[in-house]
Amino acid sequence: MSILFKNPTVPLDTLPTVAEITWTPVEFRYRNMLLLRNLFVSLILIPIGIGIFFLLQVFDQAADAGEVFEKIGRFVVGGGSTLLIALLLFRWFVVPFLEVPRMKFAVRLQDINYRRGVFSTRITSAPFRRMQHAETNRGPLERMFDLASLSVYTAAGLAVQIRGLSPDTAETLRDHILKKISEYQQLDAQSDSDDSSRT
Amino acid sequence: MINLTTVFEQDIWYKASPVALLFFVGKTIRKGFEQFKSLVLPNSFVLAWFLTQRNWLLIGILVGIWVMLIFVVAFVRYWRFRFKLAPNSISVREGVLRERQLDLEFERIRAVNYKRGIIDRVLGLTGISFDTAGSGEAEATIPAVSMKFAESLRASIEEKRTEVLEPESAQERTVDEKEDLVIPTFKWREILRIGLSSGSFVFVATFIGAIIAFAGQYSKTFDSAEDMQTDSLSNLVMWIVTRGHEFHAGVFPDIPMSVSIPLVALELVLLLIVATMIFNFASAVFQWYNFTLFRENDTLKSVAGLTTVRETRITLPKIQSVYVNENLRSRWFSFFKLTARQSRSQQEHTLVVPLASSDTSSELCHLMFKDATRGLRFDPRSPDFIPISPAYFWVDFANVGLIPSLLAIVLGLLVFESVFVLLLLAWPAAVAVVQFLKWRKAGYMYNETAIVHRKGLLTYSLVTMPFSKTQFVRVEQNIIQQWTRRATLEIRNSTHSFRIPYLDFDLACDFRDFLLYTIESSKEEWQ
Repeated sequence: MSILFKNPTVPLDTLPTVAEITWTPVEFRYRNMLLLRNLFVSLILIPIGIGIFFLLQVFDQAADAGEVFEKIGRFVVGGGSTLLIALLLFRWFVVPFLEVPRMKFAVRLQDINYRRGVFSTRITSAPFRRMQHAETNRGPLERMFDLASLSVYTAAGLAVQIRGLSPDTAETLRDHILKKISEYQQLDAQSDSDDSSRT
Repeated sequence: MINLTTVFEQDIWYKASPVALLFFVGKTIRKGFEQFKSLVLPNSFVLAWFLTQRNWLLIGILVGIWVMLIFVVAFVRYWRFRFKLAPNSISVREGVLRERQLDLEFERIRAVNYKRGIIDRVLGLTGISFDTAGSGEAEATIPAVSMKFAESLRASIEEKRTEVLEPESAQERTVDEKEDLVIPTFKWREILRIGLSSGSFVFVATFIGAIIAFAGQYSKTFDSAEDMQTDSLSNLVMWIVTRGHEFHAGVFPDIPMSVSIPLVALELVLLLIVATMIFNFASAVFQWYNFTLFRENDTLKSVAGLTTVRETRITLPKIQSVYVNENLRSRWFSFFKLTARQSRSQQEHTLVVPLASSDTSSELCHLMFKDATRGLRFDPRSPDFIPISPAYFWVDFANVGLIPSLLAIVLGLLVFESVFVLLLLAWPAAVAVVQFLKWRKAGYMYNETAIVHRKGLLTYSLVTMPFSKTQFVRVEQNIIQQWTRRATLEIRNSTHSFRIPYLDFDLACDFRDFLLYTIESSKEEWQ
């Protein structure tokens, strides 16, 4: 069987383009789930951070550190931690408001497309022809918010992971993908037997 | 015990030949060494303490127990090893404490490889291993079977695998099967070039360093008791310098110490370089002696090795990407190393041609991808490569070099109030040089069916894939790309991620749509 496909030049403007498709946003309550999850994470990390800060203070006094080390300590602990906390708070409690409305997916006849990203946008397109399997996942928080995520795998690994879907949508999509994979497998088998009968 | 001269029978559990015991000894030693590396080496202070005790009797007993254990475990492994052939599968059963049975369907097997050690070759035997797409290493190995047996087994697997996949063409293939020479056997000249441009200098340097250190340690015992009190490193240096000076004085009696010391250093460096070259050449001889590349219908077969002859097979339609690399030394000799990969594994499902010119690389790629790369020249210095936008250089220079160093300088001046923080300006200068070299080397070229991606820092590296191997496509835009209406196109296949940064956004989208169209309109099954 040849891997070479006869495919002469096709005018690019005649091709169906991802830019024209209608996108479906993920469930809005996914934002609330992210906020709650981030609150849990911050409740664990902030006491650890405070503990490290006090430890450094104690260490600083005990070691009777020189002037330079004192300055470095103040610089790192003061400036660095303030910046880090500001960034983390922004990431945990502001970004979900911007991120979730921008998470969108689109299922076309031949592929799945997924776009996400706030400051940097990313559109992934995975054709059904290359998919190997699909699975849905529901963690405890997702169950609490009645959400599910869908992961689609190709031979290159995880191609698309859509979070914040309703369980029904995720399962419908998974079944659709599995059906498509099966259809293509049958098509390939049919094509192989046609090739063989021709030879 | 199987009769190696007859064709195997099905559904019978066979034991391996007694010669396979050597294979299991080797395997057990390797496993033992891996455990040694992970368990003992991280606790090297315990090992160091143990060795300093110099309790040779205890060390001897422990080494004896270790050797005995290896042989016992290897023998039990050999004793419990069985394999069975069914009409459409091969089963391997092995394990000492926990028995593991592996059933490999013929249609899952991607490659059947041979590995022949020196004893195997004397006795006309071979080890045969089976690769599948899902495994990073050989999924199963049957050691020490006769070549005749291995050939009939391979032919049987190929035949049955083809029967399952392509029932009708299987008969034709057995009739048409013939072996074409693709690359003639390497001569000593080629082996020398491979040897001089491969291998690790660090490894040899460490090795020689360790020998010298030991020599230094023992030389102390023969010199004087005072030496024992001095620092071992300075003692070693003094010992080398003194011996070197004595040697020089033997040839040139009036040579002063100020000339002798740099001469000793030069001699040591030369010794290291010569030893590295000899070591690398010897490695190349062992690994690549008699390298020959054949083609059998849609399979490429390479055979190479001095003591252990390794035969690797790779099925042409299953090759996903081809890598053409050079290093600083091979660049000087004007050749490349070509690697064809079926999966992400670095070792298995991989065929390596250690020495290929630009033209040979192009021809091999055309052969491997059945002309999908026709018209693309695998010369990294070719003007056909499309350069990446200069924005790639400026943005990375700003992100990694300029902005962090300026921030650090401003904060440093505020905190330390010292002009020495201006030394941090060296960082963006270094980043600029590295980023400029990376940008100059980055590029891509494509035709209607394949793409070649070029990258590198000091040397070039090319990767190519036909579009038909694409698994998924991604278009990314960071803030700067959104402002400048550019995008990064990422094309993923099962072995590589092709990232072309700072493409014109519309071109990236067109490229993506074309790739999707190519996959979705193709009637060919992905392999």
